[in-house]
Amino acid sequence: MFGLGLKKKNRIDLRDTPVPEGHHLLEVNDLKMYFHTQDGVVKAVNGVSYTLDRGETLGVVGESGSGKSVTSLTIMGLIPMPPGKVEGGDVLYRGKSLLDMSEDELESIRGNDIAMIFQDPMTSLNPVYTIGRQLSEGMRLHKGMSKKDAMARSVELLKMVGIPNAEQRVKEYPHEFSGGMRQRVMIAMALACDPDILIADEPTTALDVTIQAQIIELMQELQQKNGNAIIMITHDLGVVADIADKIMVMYAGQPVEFGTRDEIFYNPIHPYTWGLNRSIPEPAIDEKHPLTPIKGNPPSLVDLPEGCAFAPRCPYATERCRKEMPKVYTTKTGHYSKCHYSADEAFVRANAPETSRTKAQRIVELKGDM
Amino acid sequence: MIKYIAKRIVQFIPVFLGVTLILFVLQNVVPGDPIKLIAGEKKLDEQTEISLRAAYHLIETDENGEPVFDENGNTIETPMWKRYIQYITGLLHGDLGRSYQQNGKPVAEILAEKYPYTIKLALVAIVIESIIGIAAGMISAIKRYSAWDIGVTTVTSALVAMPAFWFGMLQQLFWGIFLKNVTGGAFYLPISGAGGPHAEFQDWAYYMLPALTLAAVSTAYTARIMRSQLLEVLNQDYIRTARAKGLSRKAVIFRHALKNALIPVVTYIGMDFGGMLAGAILTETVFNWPGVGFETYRAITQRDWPIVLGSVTVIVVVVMVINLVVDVSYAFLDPRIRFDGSKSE
Amino acid sequence: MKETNTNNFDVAEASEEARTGSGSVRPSRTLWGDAWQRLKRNKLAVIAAIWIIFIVIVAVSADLWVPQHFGSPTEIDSASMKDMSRLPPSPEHPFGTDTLGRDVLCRVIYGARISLSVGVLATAISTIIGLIAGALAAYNGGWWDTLIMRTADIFLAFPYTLFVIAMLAVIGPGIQNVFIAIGVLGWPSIARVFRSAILSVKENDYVDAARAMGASDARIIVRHIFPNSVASVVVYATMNIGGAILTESALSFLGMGVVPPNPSWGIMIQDGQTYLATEPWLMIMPGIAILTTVLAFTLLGDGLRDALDVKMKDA
Repeated sequence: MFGLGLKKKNRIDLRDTPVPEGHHLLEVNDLKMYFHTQDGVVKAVNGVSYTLDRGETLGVVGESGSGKSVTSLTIMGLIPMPPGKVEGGDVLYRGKSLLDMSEDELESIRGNDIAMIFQDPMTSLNPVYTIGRQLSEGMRLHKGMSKKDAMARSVELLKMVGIPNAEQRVKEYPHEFSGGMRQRVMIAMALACDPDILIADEPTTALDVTIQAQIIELMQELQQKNGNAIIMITHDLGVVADIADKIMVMYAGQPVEFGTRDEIFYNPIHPYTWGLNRSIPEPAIDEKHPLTPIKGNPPSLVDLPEGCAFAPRCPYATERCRKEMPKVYTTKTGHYSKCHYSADEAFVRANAPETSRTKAQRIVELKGDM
Repeated sequence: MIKYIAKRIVQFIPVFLGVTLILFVLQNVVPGDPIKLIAGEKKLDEQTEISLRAAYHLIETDENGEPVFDENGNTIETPMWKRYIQYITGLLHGDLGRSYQQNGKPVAEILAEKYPYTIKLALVAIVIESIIGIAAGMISAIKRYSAWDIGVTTVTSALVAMPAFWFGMLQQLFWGIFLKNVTGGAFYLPISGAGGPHAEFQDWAYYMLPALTLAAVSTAYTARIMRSQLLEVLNQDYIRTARAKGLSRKAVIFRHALKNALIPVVTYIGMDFGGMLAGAILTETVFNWPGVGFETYRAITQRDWPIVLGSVTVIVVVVMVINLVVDVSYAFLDPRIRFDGSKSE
Repeated sequence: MKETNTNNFDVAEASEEARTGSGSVRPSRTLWGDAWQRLKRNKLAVIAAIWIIFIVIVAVSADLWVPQHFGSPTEIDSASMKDMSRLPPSPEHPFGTDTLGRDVLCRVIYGARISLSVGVLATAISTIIGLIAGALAAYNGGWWDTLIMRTADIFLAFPYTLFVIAMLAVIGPGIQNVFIAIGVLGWPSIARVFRSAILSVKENDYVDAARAMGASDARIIVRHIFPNSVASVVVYATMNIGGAILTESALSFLGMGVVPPNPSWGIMIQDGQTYLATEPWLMIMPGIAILTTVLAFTLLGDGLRDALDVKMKDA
């Protein structure tokens, strides 16, 4: 009863199955996750789609409450249902639907093929067990390692994420680690079983700025070594500027723009992305240029506006925006946007922030200096 | 750790002095001459009265315990502060004074007779409380909003809202009277006393109803604390981390949530054990249980103050020792606790 | 984990702009208005409140109608006593009669007066002492804090029931003494609750802000600290009433509380103990009265705690 549940009937290891023809490592198709609460139906994730391949990094950007974390937790099958309910769409991992899997099957994927790092390293480790024990757990479960082997591997993992004196540190408890060190432990834990996909949910938000860069760098370094895909969730466009291959911008549970990093930074076509771009601080460049915040707050997810969700805050909103839900406009390269006017090149040219290109370059340069 | 224990003991001294002082003062402001309580209905001659007063340290005595007289040949009343010091000095030598009744039997001897009954009853009750309380709370939390959960919540709410003595009487009514009638006397439980060589039942049977009654309210609290702790722990980020590792729900509950949730529960049960050792006046009264609670209650109603003072003194020390043991063991359960009493993140 | 916490979506806190944009939104309310809305949704708390109001009305109006139907709660009619003694429940006497021929329902109703007044008055005394002590300790800190909290520790070191009994043995039984004893001995827990409530409020930034703007101590206490700590005291006091009713019944049961022939529920249970085997309703009826009343105060307290969002340890 107190075991790890090693003797599972339906253990599958999808890692070695090649991605079927015409599929990607991870495909999210029109995913909808709603919460049924006392106050009504909260449309937390409302039609999210993207694809991801090995070695790639996807940045998911949005304000808090935009559904970026819920999307990832849905992929992991970690949303309690009820109150959560998948109302449509699918998630395919190596061509196999994660939403159709049994709990047993999901358990063999979680932490093994798809691993996750959470926002707050201070509360994400169990306070009453040693770091070593918490690190070994996944390896013993998924790889069937002995206690001793798992502990030895834990020491290696701690060394890998740059924790000094690892032999000693595995025997210590979480409260004996600093925030940055704990996040390193979280990364080590997520990488313990060499996952295909690493989901990092605001991994640096709770940390000091100086530590932030180290953690991001560490994740990139390990990605180059292991070839895993990364989904980096953040509210800060700046964080993904230099590491993401693709970026999805989310607003009120919906993806409003999706494209390569270059497309999002140099050629954004959605007014919300413009707003995010304008609100990246650039103190080193010109002091006179004021930050332009996006006015107002996101709408209630229980009670979304009839038309475009961003219309109440959009400076360019028209009557049509308020009445009619925009359709997804996709360019030839797969760059898509959910705005009535994205296809209107003259409108985009007239209103997109002129500095987008230079700004992105500057950010990349700045980050490089750190 | 030794430093911590020493510090706790030092902190306890003013509390202990305060408690005994309050009781000592209370006892002395009670109207009525202790000698009347000692003598009862009997008329005493002057000589006996003086020697009694001397024996109970109510008047000044010399080294041999003989009364001292002033120049008018009267006895000298010992002031209260001096008697208090005498009492504390006596305590340090294991002397709790003597009963006003029961032929002046030493209080320590009386308590030594009564305490085993209270301890044994408390042990049985604490076992019931731990097993039923923890199990019920766990089921309730894991199957939240189920019929089980509603049942446990309803029963625990009712248990904490009813007087313990009334619950005890309901037990007597059901197990002792109703069952006896229904089974034609074939099966029932004793509803009074603590057994003994000539008793109708084997000794264990006498423990059942008092222990159940004593455990009732505590079991309800244990179940509620267990439930709310487990629910709170299951909401923690580290539980999500464990789930994200691929652990099953069961493994997460038993390996990650349980230990965290049990820490406050174990503390509560420990403290509660201390409280039970303080003697359960109501339970012991309803079941005529010859424990320290019943004895203290009897002493209060008959104004046998030395017994009241003595038993409360012992109770306060026992409770303090138990609490200290609980706090120290807490540190073994929770690695975040350091012995300076603080809790790190 | 904010985004998965369905009760607490950040986005629910929509601002003016967003509100005007989307049709129906929550109107803004005060703390107490909000709490009232939440309390109304809690069915158990509403039932508990209705039950308490019912008992209060019945107890207060008892003199107007009870004696006509069920006779006096205390006086004994010696002529008919023998025929009336311990009758089982019947339409004329729904709860039966006691040994002295008095109607049990009548005595239960009059018992409610005693229980409620002891519960409320004892709690009032504890609350007043506790509030003053807690405020002095928390606001002044230093020696005040040490002295008051050490004294509270001494009070709490006593086994509670034993302490109340000992105190009553000294000051004598009787209803006034009962609520004085319960009230005076109950202050340390309220003082602790209030002290920690004040301390946690004191740590809030808005208190620093008020002080930075030059508000006086008195103004800070009255305008900022009190309104924000009073919620926890209201919750605690509500629950305390139930506890005081239980203590009163225990004291009366032990013969140290309310003096016969006054109809306390505890005395009635003690009277009924003798006839447990033959006439169990004598002890069952007053017991149910205690159970439902105390339960009602506990459930109302729970409801208030949730509605006012007061953080308390369970139990």
